[in-house]
Amino acid sequence: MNNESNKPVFTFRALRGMRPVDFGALMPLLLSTALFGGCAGVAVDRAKDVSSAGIAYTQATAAVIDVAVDASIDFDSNSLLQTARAQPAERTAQLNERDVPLVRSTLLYSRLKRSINVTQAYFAALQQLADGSTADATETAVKALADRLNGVNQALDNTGSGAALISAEKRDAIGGLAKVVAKQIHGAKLATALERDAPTVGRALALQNKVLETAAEDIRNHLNNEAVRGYRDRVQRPFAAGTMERTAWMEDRKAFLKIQALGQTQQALNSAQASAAQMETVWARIVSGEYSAKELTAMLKDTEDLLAAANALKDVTKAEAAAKAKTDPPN
Amino acid sequence: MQIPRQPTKRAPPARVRMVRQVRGGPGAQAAAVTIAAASSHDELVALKRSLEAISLSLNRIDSQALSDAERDTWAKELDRVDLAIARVRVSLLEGIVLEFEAELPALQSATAQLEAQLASLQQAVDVINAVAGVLGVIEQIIGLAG
Repeated sequence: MNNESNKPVFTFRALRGMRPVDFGALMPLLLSTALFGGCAGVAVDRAKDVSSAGIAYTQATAAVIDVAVDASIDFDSNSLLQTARAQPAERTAQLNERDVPLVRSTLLYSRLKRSINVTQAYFAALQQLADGSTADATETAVKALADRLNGVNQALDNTGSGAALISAEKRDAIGGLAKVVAKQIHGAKLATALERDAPTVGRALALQNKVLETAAEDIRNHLNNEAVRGYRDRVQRPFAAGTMERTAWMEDRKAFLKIQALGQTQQALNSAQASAAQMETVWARIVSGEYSAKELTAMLKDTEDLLAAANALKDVTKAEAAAKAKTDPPN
Repeated sequence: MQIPRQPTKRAPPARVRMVRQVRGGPGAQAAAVTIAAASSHDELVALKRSLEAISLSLNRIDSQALSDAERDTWAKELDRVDLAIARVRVSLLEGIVLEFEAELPALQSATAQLEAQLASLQQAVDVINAVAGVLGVIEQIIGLAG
């Protein structure tokens, strides 16, 4: 038994022969680790910024898709109401013909939302990795390990001196060093991931940009048509006839002028492909640190205006329905 | 459709110009185009925009101010243009869906790698904790043996 137990005993006794930790000797190592730790900190911060911006971008795109689906159907319904054919059979055929592409485009938008969710899952995983530093846990674990080593050493020490193999000071220093190393490993992993995934994510974001532009066009088209129709029917015509109700007319005028203005948010002058290529470039620059992640969220400004206009239209349509319900006799 | 004859050579009213444009202009040709399922994204975007511009122009016409015959032509043209918009939208989205779905495996693989990296970080801590745990057990055994 004694012979068999010699192996671990030898190992631990060998540790007892270590010199006390010399802080002077450790300083270059600590400094270089801290320096790398600083670089690691930059990578962690960048990954956090990028993942937050990516999540915001994907969520905004998904929200725009929802509004675009409604907008494309509402646009078509308004068109149908204006162009309804004379005979019931013709009307049914017209309705069926118009339904087919709308059902298809709604399904396609839904598939795109699923793809966008996959992009969001990437950013969520990146965020988890960025937030998942094990530096503190490593420090605690290493200190615990040192304490255990001391415990074993003392248990094996037949002299009964009670001297610790690793002093509290040394234990804290080793724990701190382990923390810095863990931070560095964490930062390095993030930096590698950002660089490795940059082309894939860049392409996904470029495609997402195409989705966003297509959806935004559908919303813009609906807004522009509603602004024309609403302004003519509820502002221009009552004003010309002198039949307007003062407060409602003022509200309608304000709403439709705003919708008209916000619906005409800066349309992309470049081609869609050029815009997608621009998105890939922006992403590459964000990942390299040349641009801030705020560039990504800044690209959503026009979209925000468009959604505000869509909401304004929703409000004015609700008000119109409420006013109509008041004036229409109950069935 | 009869285009109202103007008494003078002045430019015709806006609504008449718009109906003329829709009947014989480039917009009418665009609306009549049969949309191929596959086309380049930029071309489809341009086509959809031009159709939307025609639709908006038609919507600017006050249909109540048109004669019955004019109104009938106007409604048919608007119906054709808006149906074409819906079909172009489908072609456009089909192209993006195909492109995007082709990218998904790479994206999912990248996500899985991130998750594996996070797990490996935690694993390192787990290993240290496990070693510390084993040492604790050894310490207890030695204590009992002593």
